[in-house]
Amino acid sequence: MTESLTRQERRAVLLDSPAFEKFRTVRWRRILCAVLIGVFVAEVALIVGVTVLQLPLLVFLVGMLVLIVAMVFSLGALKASTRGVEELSPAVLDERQAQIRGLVYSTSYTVLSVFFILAVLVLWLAQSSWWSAPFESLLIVPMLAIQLIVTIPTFVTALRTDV
Amino acid sequence: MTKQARDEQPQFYTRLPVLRTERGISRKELADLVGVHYQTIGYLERGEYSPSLVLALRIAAALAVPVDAVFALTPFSSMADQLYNTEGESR
Repeated sequence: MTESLTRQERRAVLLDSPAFEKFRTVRWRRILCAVLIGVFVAEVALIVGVTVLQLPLLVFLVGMLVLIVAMVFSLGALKASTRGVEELSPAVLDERQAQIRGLVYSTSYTVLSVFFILAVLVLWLAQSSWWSAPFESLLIVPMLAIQLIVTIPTFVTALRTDV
Repeated sequence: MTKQARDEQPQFYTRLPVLRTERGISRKELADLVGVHYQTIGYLERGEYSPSLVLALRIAAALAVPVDAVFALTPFSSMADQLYNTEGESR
């Protein structure tokens, strides 16, 4: 417990670092959100490219590597821009931050519910006989769903103006 | 009172910026004294966040004044009025 709290405290100090102050504006947070969404779109495009357009495997691997690096950096910057309010334990947050965290999780739950219904709908339609959905749609939907589960609280926090 | 009407009015009034400045304490120093993030002090000073009772009491203790000298539900009279107009209502 103590060890865990210490790790959380270290994480809180890192995400609160003045080095990231530049990103703590509404404009920068929106830019970072757009970059992250761009990474997701590029991932989908790469999968479609390799399966439908028969791009070489090397292009796919290099492309995915670049996108993973871009995702790590943009998500890291986005978390620093929100001071990690959405991911840190309430034990290292003050009462206002803990309140924001609660509101963020409430909104994230609603957004995720909508995405879940959409994902199930797309997968169900892809299985139906009247839509000859390509195989990659079955790969893209879970891949995007997993990434959204991880990033939606950060998106919701970043788009608030009172973080 | 409707929700819209409640949103338009400040939920509380505060003299925190005046008292803090008077004592020469920075937001960061006060935040460290009462155990919150310095950003939260900014939100409190702008009246954009209503503190819990515990936080309000901690702030009052840190500034060595009663809690109703820092936070109130009705507007405070100005410091100048209080200092120079002794007949006026003073809080």
